[in-house]
Amino acid sequence: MKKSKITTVKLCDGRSLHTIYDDKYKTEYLSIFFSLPLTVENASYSSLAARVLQRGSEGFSSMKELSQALDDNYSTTVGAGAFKCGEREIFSFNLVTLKDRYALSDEKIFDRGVEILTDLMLRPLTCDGGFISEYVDGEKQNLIDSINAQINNKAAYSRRRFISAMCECEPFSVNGEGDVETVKNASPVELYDFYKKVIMTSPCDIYYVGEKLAEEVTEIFKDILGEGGEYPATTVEYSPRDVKRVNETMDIAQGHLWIGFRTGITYSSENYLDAVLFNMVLGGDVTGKMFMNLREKMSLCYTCHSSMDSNKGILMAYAGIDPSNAEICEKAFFEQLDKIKNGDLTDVEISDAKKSFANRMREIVDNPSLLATWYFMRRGSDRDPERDAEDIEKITREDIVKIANSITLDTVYLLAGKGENE
Amino acid sequence: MNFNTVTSDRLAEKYFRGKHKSGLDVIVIPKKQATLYALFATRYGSVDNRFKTSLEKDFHDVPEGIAHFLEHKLFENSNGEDTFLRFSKLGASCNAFTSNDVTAYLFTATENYYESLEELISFVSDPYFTKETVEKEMGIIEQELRMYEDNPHRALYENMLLCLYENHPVRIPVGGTPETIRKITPELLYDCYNTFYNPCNMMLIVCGDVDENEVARVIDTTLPKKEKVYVEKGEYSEKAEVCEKYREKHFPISLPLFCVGVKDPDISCGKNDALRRELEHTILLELLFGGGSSLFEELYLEGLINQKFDASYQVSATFSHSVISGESREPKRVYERILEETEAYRSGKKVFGEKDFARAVRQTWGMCAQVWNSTTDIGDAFLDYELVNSELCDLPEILSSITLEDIKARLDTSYREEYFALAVVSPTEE
Repeated sequence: MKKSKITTVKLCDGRSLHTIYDDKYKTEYLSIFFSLPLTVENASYSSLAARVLQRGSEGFSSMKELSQALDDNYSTTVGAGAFKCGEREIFSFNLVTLKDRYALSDEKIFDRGVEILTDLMLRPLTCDGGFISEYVDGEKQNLIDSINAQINNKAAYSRRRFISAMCECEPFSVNGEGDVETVKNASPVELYDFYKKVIMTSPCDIYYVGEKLAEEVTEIFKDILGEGGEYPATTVEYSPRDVKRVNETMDIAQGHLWIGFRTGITYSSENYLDAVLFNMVLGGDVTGKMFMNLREKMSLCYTCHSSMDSNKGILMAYAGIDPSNAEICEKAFFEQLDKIKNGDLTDVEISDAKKSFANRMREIVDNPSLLATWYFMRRGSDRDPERDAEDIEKITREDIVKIANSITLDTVYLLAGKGENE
Repeated sequence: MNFNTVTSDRLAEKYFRGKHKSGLDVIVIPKKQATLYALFATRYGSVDNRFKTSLEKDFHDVPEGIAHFLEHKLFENSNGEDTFLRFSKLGASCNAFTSNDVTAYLFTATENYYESLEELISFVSDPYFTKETVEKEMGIIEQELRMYEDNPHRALYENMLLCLYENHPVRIPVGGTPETIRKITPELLYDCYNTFYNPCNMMLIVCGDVDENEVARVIDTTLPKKEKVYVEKGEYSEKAEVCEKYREKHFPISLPLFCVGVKDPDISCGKNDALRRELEHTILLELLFGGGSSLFEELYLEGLINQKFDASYQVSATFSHSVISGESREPKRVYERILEETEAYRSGKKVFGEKDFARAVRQTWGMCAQVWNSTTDIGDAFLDYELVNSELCDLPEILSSITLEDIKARLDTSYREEYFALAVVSPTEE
C-alpha cells in the first residue's frame, strides 16, 4: 500500500522536525507549530501577533513589499496564524512554494520562500522594545472585527456557543481567536515579549512535505530556534452531572441543534478506533444512522452529522433544522443512538462505515497540508493514516456497542429564530 | 473509442481526450495518486429554465430550481437502494453539485476505481421519480434553502448578480425558492432529465491512477444506449451595461460586506477565448487590486479594508464578470476608490510598469501550476474549462503570449464605469 514516509528528527528539547517524502506534488510544503496552553491571553495574543507579523519585517518593510516578494516568487504562500487544538493554542507558520523545476527561468523558489518566512518570523519590525504600535492598533481592529464576525456563519457560531455552554469553566471553552477585551488591552511591548517567549521557549513541531531529505531540512532550522519546554496537556476527565439544556435565539431562518457527549477517549486511547467506528455508524458519515434516518427517511434536515474532538474526548451531534421540529429531531436522534446501544446494527452498516473511514484515511496522503495537520493533531499518539485504515477492519460490533453504552450525555443546545423557541 | 493525447511539457503532464460513439465527451487525466476523482456532468444548470429538444416544436418553461432538485432526486434508485451506500460499499465517497450552467455527479475513491466508475454512470443513467419521493425531498431541500437564507455572503453575491443582469437567468438563485420548488412534479423532472441527460450533452472526466482504455471499456458496458438528442436553449437579450447600480440588504452581522461586480461585455466563447480572457483579467485585477498594488496598501492602511479583500474573474459560457469583495465600515468609499483607481489607469494618468506586469505573470503561473497538485482540483479545472470551450493544457502557451498591451486593451474595453455595480450587506440595526 501507499504509505506516507515520515521521518522525525529531534532538533533539541521540545523541537522536532518531521519530514514526509513525496514527489507527486508540484509544490513543497512546510508548517511550523508552536504549542501553548489554551488561555484567553494566549489565544488573544497569538491571534494578534500572527497578524502583526504579516505587516512587515526587517527585510520586507511593508505589506506591499512582502506581497510583491511572494507574488514574484511564483505565488508563494507565507502565512502566520493561530488556532485551537484541544486545550492548546497553536501559533503556526506555513510556507507553500512551487518546485524549482517549474520556474519560468532558473530560480531557487523554495530557498527564497524560506528566506521570506524566516525573515518574517525572526526579524519583525520593532520600536522601543515592542512591535510598531501603529501596526498593533490596526491589527487589533482587524482581529476584533474578525472575532465579532464569527456570528456571520450561523452553524459555526452555534457550535461555539454550544461548546462554551458544555465546557463552561474549562479551558476548552476559550475562543481560539481570543476575546475582544484582552485584544484591546494588549500593549505593543507586552505583545512582543509574548511573541519572543513563544519562539524561544514553546514546544515546536516543524513538518516538511516534499522531495528534500530530513538532513537538508534540518540544516535550515537547526540554529534558528531556541529550546522548547513541556507540551501543554488537555484535561479529558470530567465529573458527570445532570444534562444541561441551553436554548438561545437570534434573528435567523434555520435552527441549529447540538447534542454533546463526553467520551473520555483521545487519539492515544487504546479504544480510539472503536470510538471512530461508533461515530461513523452514528453520524460521522452519509452511511451513518443520522443521515440515513433524520435526513433520508424523515426529511428533517439537509445537514446532520456527528463528530469527535479526540484531543478533548467529546462527541458532538448536529442538525440544521426547522426549530418547530427540534423535539422530534432530538427524539429521533436518541432512537438511533439506542439502536446502536442495543446492537441493532447490520453487518453492512459496519462494513460500509469501515470502508468509508479507510477511504478517508487513504485520501489524506494526497494533500500535503492536510497530511501535516493530521500528524500534528495526533502528535504523541504514533498514529499513521494507512495503519488506521488497516486497523479499523479489526473493530467488531461488540466494540461499537461498548462505546455507545460508555459515553455520557452532557449538553443539549438549540439556537432558534426569535419567537419560535419561547 | 479513440483518444487523442494532449501534452504540456511545461507542466510535465498529459491527458487523453475522446468522443464516445454515444456523443459523450471523455477526458482521462492520469495521475499517480491514491485518490481517484471522477465527474459525470451535464451541461445543464439553474439558468436553463427554457428549452426544447431537436425533436420538439415549442420551447417550454420549467420552475426555477428544478436542475438542483433533479440533482437531489437522481440519488434515488428504482430498487430502493441508496446511492450513497452503493458507493460506500466500494470504499468510495460520492457527491454532486449544481451551478448556473452545470450539474455534476462525482466521487473520490482510493480503491475499486472502475467499479465506482460503473456505479457513477449507472446511477446517473437511471432516473426514478414518483409523487411520494418528490414530496419527501421538499423538506430536505427547503432546509438547504433556509440554510442559504441565513448566509450573508450568499445574499451579497445574489444581490450583486441582480445588479448586473437584467434578463439573464443567472439572476435566479441556483436552488430556486421554497415557493418555486413546490411546483415541481415527477413529469417535469422526467422532461428535464430526458432533454439534458443525453450523452450528447454530457461529459465524463476521470483523474487518477487509471488506464484510459479501461475507462472506455466501462463506458461501453455501462452507458445505456439512447437516441441522440440535441438541446436548444431559450434566448434572452442582455444589455452590456448593468441593470442597477446599488443594492443593500440587512443581516445580523457585525461588519458590512461589499461586493463590486464588473459586467464584462466580452463573453465570446470560441476555442480558448474564455481561458485567454480569464488570464488577462486575472493579471489585470492583480495589478489593480492585488496584495502588491498601491490601492490595496492605501485602503488597508486607512483601515477601509482588511485581508479578506479579494478580486477575481468569473467566466461562464453565457456571462462573465469580475468580482471585488471584502468587508468594510464604509463600502461606498471603497467603491469610489476602486472606480477612481480604475479610471486613473484607463485614462493613462497612472501606468503599469513592465516589472509589475512580469510579476503578475509569474504569480498567475504559480497559481495555475499548483492546481496540478490534487486530482480533485485538476478534475474541477477541466470541467470549468470544458464548459467554456477551452483547453487547460494550452494555458502555459497562452499565458506566455499575453503582453502588457493586451492587459491595457482589456482595461479599456471591460472596465468602464457603466459596467460597475455595488452590493452591500449591512448589519441589522437594533
